[in-house]
Amino acid sequence: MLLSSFDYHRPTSLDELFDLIGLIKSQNESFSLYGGGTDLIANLKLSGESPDNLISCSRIEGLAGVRHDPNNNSLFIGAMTRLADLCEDRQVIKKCPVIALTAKKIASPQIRFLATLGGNLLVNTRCVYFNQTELKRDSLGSCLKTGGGSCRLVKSADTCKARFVSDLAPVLILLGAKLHLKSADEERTLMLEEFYRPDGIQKNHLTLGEILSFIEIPLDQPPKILYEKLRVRDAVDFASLGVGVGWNGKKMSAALETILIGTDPAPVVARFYLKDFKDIKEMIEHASNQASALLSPLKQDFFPVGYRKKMARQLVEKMARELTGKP
Amino acid sequence: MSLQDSKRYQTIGKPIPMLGARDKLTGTARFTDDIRLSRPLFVKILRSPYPSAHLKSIDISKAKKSKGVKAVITGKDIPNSFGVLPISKDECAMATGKVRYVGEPIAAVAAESLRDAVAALRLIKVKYEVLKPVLNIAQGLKKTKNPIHPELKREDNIHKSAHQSFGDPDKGFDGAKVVIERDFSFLSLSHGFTEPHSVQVEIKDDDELTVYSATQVPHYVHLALSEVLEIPLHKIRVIKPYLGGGFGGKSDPFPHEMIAARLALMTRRNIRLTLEREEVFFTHHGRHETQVKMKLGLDPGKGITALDGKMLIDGGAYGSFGIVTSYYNGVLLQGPYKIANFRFDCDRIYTNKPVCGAMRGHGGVNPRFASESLLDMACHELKIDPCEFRLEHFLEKNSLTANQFRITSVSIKKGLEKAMTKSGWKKKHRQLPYGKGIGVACGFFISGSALPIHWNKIPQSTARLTLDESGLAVIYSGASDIGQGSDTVLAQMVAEVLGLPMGMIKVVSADTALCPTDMGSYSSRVTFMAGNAARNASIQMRRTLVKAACQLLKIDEPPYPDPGKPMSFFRQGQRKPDFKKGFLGANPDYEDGFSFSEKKIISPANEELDYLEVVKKAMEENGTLQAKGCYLSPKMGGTHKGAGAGLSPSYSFTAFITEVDVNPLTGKVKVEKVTCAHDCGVPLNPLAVEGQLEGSIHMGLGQVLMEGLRYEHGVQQNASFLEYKIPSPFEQPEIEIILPDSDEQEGPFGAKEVGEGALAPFNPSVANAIFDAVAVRLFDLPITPDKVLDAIHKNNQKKD
Ligand SMILES: Cc1cc2nc3c(=O)[nH]c(=O)nc-3n(C[C@H](O)[C@H](O)[C@H](O)COP(=O)(O)OP(=O)(O)OC[C@H]3O[C@@H](n4cnc5c(N)ncnc54)[C@H](O)[C@@H]3O)c2cc1C
Repeated sequence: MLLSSFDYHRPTSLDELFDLIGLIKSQNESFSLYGGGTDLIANLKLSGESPDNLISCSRIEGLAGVRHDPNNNSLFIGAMTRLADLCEDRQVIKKCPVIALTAKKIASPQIRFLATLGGNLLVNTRCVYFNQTELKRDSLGSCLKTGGGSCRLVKSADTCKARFVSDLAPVLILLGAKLHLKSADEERTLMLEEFYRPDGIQKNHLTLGEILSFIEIPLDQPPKILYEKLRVRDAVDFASLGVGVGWNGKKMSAALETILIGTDPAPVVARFYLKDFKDIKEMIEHASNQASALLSPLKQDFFPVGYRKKMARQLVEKMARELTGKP
Repeated sequence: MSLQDSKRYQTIGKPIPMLGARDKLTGTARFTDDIRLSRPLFVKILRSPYPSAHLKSIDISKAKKSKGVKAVITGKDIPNSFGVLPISKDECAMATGKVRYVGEPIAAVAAESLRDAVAALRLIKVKYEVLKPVLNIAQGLKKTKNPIHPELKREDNIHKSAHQSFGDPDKGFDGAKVVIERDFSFLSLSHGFTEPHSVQVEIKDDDELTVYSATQVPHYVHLALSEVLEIPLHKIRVIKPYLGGGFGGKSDPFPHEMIAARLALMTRRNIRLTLEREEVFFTHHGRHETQVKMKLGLDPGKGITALDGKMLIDGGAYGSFGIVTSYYNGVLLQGPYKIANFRFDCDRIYTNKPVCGAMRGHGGVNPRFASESLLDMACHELKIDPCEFRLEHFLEKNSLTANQFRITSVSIKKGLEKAMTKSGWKKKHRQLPYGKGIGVACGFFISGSALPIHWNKIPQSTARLTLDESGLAVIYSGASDIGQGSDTVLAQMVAEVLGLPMGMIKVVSADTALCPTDMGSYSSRVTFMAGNAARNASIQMRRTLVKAACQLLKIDEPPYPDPGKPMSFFRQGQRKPDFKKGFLGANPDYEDGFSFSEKKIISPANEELDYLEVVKKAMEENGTLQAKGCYLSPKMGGTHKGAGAGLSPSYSFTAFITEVDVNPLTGKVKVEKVTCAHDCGVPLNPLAVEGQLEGSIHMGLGQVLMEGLRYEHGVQQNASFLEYKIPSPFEQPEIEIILPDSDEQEGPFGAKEVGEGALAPFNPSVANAIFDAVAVRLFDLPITPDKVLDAIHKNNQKKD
């Protein structure tokens, strides 16, 4: 597979980046930002198409690395921090070990050396009809995401049903992470939980020309978090189902949170307050049933639909029990 | 010879690193695509998006005029058909008239750059009349007026029906204590080798071609190119550079090889063509999708009283090895147990899908899963120990099977006994906690096919050996090292017989201009056949050196019991072996009383000569020294139809005891520990033997737990290494290997097969262990977690 030709840029500062974007826009050319390129480049190769310009953000100064901000007790992780570094970072391991553990479950060691945290949160949605070569798209017919008129999975669907697959997203949502987004003339923050949209094409609220610069993680009273990933092989594979469960029993309003990925176009988030239930057991039972009920997996994965639903229930139940200490 | 005897050897039986391992490790090894020819044209192939369609027209006019394009060809430029078996040459390099599968080549562009070629490909306009495809076995069995291959003049899409019957199966079932019959199914598999198919063609003097190709059989590519392109053999030279895995998937001549050669002739330019991974999946030739209905009768005292299998295999669009595969689906059930009453029917069906062919364990893998599962079920029903039962009923040394395979050497019994002890079988089977299980399964496999594909009397292997005053021994062989270490084993033969260190041997192999003809690397034949040829050449060379040594020492040459050996040796024999008199062709020994060791040649009277001095002496008479050895299988086998299928000069045997953990919540199976006993005769190189066994287990693991091509309307949905699930290192179990040596008199230094046989019985050993763990039987591969969980739930419902 050949990449189509494109102009390649590697700015070293945000100013340089925004100047470049300005110039490209003024010439009416298309562009994409990328970090490690492990997702973007692979998808461009498959599609046989490329934007006019590819802009690598990995050398932009100050965007890689982890910093603790003592003022508001939070962790700032640069969007261009490589997953391999995230796995080993001492502050991360000390303050939010679940991030390092989850990063280790992504792809393979080779890929983690290139892949970035920002790229992971923005990773493209996946589908059997989308992640195919030109010839296959010709054979099977195109889908919404490849420029066709209808979804191949759900004929009546008016939005794309490709799966959301970022493994770090559920964990960071549970941690209450905030995104720092920057463009030439604006800087804004957005809760990660509000960032995604339930559409495999319009995946999130990032605007063209905007860069994800930092992920901010508050460290006060973080919930206890577990993340489990259902996949065929214990390396390389994307999540057929990813389950993040958080439990904050310390707060006044003790709550269990479940975030599931790998089935729907966006993370499926649910929250259960202990006060609404008779006891923890009942809460867990409800949460695990809901986990399964809220998912809409489709025939686009190695594992059958029913199995993934079943697993959602079982994993949530198992993990919630572990977190709440109620076996 | 036994393993004990092998201790007296210097090179044989020692763990020797593969020749070329360093090059591969450091990245200096040159694979086909790494070769840099002068100014090559790059080729891209246009492939069909439809499983079945008439080609109404192909307009290449725009593509021809596109930037950098030097030639565009279509099916009519290479009209001659080919196929690895002379009896089913049903495939053309590019479709003519009709496309028969998604991915079938339709046209090819040669251009100055890959980019130019890709751009031109998009300008080719093809008009199709889409036809109703045949997409599975059931559809292929239906009556039709428009079969995929009308030339067979049939009203369905059956390509080949193979049947054999021995003894009286019906009576056998009547006399059984228990009879079990079940249906099984298996997805089609891809080999998953690392290096994609690749070919480069160098053209000289307008019509002389040197074809570098990633092939397991340079000889077949040579023959096919000559026939298809209608150019004499002597104008073509086929060379196989370093090769990154084959497993059967590079043993046919392929369309891309014909296309590259035709384009070289047309453009008078060098050509470079490497397939992308997706194209490798299209090219396929992997394991057939298979349905098996099998019935087994068992009596604890009498053994397997009868076995009857009905196999349906989905061959895809063309023949490939399919006729052989059809027979192998049956005949490879004739061991490792005595089965007097035996019957099978196998139909190979043409469908509009990529072509299936040979893959590690060729044809024998899926039926083995069925028979070993049934055997386990029967033992369970009769409450007998499945290991003990097997121990009682293995084939014996020096015997004939019902279909007249010669069983020469067997030590599977010893192997299984050891495996039982090492694994703690007696303490574990049916006694482990729920979720943990242990299972057994056994198998056997050919050491090369005794009946070559091309029916002629030319030896299947010839090796040539030269020596000059440098002392370097050069062994020339047409065998193809595909990563399995065939070069290393040939060098070991020479090193052992001539007493030289491995560093003084050079192997020149897989080059049709320099090397003697060899049938190449498939059906686990190289060590046995090319190995025997190399060993014979070395013995011949040794006799020359002994003669020179005698001249130097002024003594008489030793009397050889059979001076004609080893040249004529393997040609002898008659169909019916007389085991009392010995084998048809036991291996010639050196029998000269001399000892060759560490570059010294020592006479029977202990006089020591320097090896180089002796070489020089011998050269006085002959100039550079040359010797040659051959291997041709002895005559063997019955006279029934298909008697040649599965005939081999010897057979390997394997026993597996496998331990699994099944998670009852998720259904996920983890294979934890594998104890593998493999009788490969004398393990010539334990390191290589272990590597082959570990690889077989890894490959079996893929098939049994996760691998399989998934099709939607004839289109492969998972044609990439991300979606086609080959196990990662995390899935690989702990492995303990037992090598129960056996005395294989016809094998070179006692060796038999190790490359393929172990794969087949591994799969059912996992399934049998799953049954032991959670009391469910799975009949359809791969055994994915969802199937396990469903089965567990169904089982629980039954109990409630
Ligand atoms: C074989 C394989 C297995 C994989 N397995 C997994 C897995 O198990 N789990 C998983 O989550 N992912 C997996 N991936 C996907 C991918 O490797 C990871 O998600 C990775 O973290 C992406 O990071 P990247 O920097 O390489 O992203 P890139 O490819 O560089 O970018 C991804 C997307 O984000 C955009 N982008 C990147 N950085 C920025 C930024 N700072 N601002 C704005 N936009 C940006 C790009 O435009 C692009 O659209 C796998 C990929 C492969 C090839």
